[in-house]
Amino acid sequence: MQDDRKQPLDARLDALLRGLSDKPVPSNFTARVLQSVDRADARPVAAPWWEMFHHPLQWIPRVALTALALWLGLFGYEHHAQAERRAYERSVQAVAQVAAMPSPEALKDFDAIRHLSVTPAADHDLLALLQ
Amino acid sequence: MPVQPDPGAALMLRVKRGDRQAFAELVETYKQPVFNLVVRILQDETEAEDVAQNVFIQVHRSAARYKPSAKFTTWLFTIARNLCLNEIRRRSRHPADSIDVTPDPADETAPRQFEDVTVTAPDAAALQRELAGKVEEALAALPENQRTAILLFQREELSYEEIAGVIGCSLSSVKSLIFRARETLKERLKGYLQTGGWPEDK
Repeated sequence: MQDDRKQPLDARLDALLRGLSDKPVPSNFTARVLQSVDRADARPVAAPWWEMFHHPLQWIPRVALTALALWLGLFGYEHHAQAERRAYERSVQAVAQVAAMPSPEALKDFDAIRHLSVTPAADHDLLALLQ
Repeated sequence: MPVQPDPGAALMLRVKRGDRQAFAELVETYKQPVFNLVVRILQDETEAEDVAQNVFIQVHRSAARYKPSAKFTTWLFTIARNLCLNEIRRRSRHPADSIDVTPDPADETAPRQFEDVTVTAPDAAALQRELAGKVEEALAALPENQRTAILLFQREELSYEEIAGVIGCSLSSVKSLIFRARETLKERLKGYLQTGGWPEDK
């Protein structure tokens, strides 16, 4: 029963959608499209960037690119060398600070003295008996 | 089995060979369905004119690469929809650029585009205009993909497969889009659909 009611609803919706009027297209639409296409055809097409390598003066961009690559390489190497120099300076400074410590002669018995100071805890019972 | 070239594809193959007359013919043949779709997606006739023009310019530009592997209208409507979506995106990024105000559906004084110049009884003509207005409003309120799907299905008689190609989704998604669009339209137009008090087919 419900389907019977639904069916005409669908059919009417279809009829409504199909019956929608066309949107009015401007009368000069085709002429405008053709004009735009003609204009686009007449316009010189911008060559893609890689086309510059086919130019009669193709050596110019090639030399420029090579120079740029070389410069980038040198710049990178120089930067790296400077960083290494700075690291070396820092390590030299650290060694210089170590030299300011007491001489190794003064510290030669250090371990023996340190071991001597490690004694077992006092035996309080024995001390009490001795007293 | 090779795909039989449809009339649009045949014209397009001539355009590909540089036939300007064929291109003019192609624009004449397809400007109405393209314009109908573009206006209904964008909801703005002025912008739709520019976009519809761009659709054909794009078609001309792509002619050299064209291969009639699918129905011509599928390809054409795909270009149209993509340009519409670009326009919608541009509009959302630069809302102030659009000086055209979308007519308020509730504004009864807004000019309608459904003027019927054929001789009809005044009451019938008024009812027809009102109905058309309500249907257009209901369509406009649908999400873009549902609207495009149902328009291509009902008005341009594209198959589910072709619509899937235009929208770029699966067959089941197309069926679902159309089903949901129909349900929403039926709900919104229930009052009119149940009374059946409008002139049937033109």
